Amino acid sequence: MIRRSNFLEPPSLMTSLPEDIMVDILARVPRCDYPVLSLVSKHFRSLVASPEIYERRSLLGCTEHYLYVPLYNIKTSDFRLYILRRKANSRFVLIPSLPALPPGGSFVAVGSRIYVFGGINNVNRKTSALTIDCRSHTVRPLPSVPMIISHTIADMIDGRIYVIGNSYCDDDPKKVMEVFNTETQKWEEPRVIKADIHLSATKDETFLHSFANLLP
Amino acid sequence: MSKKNIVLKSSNGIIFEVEEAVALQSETIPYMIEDDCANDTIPLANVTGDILALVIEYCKKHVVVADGDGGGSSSSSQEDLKNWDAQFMNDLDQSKIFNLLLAADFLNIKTLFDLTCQFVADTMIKGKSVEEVRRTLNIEKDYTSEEEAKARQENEWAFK
Repeated sequence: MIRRSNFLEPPSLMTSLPEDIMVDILARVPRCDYPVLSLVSKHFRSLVASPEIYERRSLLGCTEHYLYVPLYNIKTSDFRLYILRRKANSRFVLIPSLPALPPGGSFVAVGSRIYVFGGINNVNRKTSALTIDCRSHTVRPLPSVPMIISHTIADMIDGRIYVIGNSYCDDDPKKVMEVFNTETQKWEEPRVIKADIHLSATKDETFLHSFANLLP
Repeated sequence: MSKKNIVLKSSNGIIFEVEEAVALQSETIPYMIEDDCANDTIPLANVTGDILALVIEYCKKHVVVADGDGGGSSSSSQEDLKNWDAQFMNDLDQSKIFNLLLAADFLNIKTLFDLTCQFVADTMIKGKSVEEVRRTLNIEKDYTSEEEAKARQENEWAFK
């Protein structure tokens, strides 16, 4: 951290504290105050975006829930992510730093991350996968889904995300399930392909569980 | 069994004699006793006398409650203790609060550390505007106007 010496101003007791103690204090402030804190100074901004503060918050049990909803934005003609702002007048507010999301994509929330599967990657012609970090509202691409899958549904069981959908390779439509390991951040083998299972586009957890149980 | 006393010496040479049970709420002091068994006085080079007096006041209050119910405390005494903690913190100025926080960290008194951190978070930061936080904590604005506008735009969702 850059500390500027300024002999006219008395030093700030807060910013003179060791970094880990500052993290300990800021971790106890509600998450909805973090946007304000990130404007206080560059130092505060880096602290409220640091992984340490979120680890500390988890240890202290200071986790908070937020509702994120993908909505069709008429102005930009695409799907964008909105957050429910629960202050005086509740409403959905656009998160401008996040890019457009694939129409019909599947979303899985894991801790402070949202995994998104869907849309075609124009470079390798595979189904795109990405993760949104809800702490910083930034996007990180993941390895593409190994096959092109449409009409996906996805959910997580025991650290693995199961993405199920229709695959049209060899012009032969098949039901496909790909498995993404959230710890290794890699797609796992073997994939499961079934031609005789009816798959509806609506998410049905019971169905997903029974399907997942087919795995060894 | 007679109660054993422990002698603590602040950085500016002030001596405090306290019961062992009071001092042992600090997880640091037992190590100092082991390391320094030849000497009766435990020097605390990082804590001044006025702050050490506050630490001891806190520890005495908390040890009394733990003893009063034979180890476990009733909900009413827990409530009293909470009120006492709030009053104790409210009577301190900012300089004392931050020095108490550092002393609690150094002496490793977890409940006092949690109390002071939470007090700073609740009274100096929570629910305040950018300018109020800067003023309360005496933090200099290090953003240029352009940088601040950009940061504000990124966090727009929270301000609308």
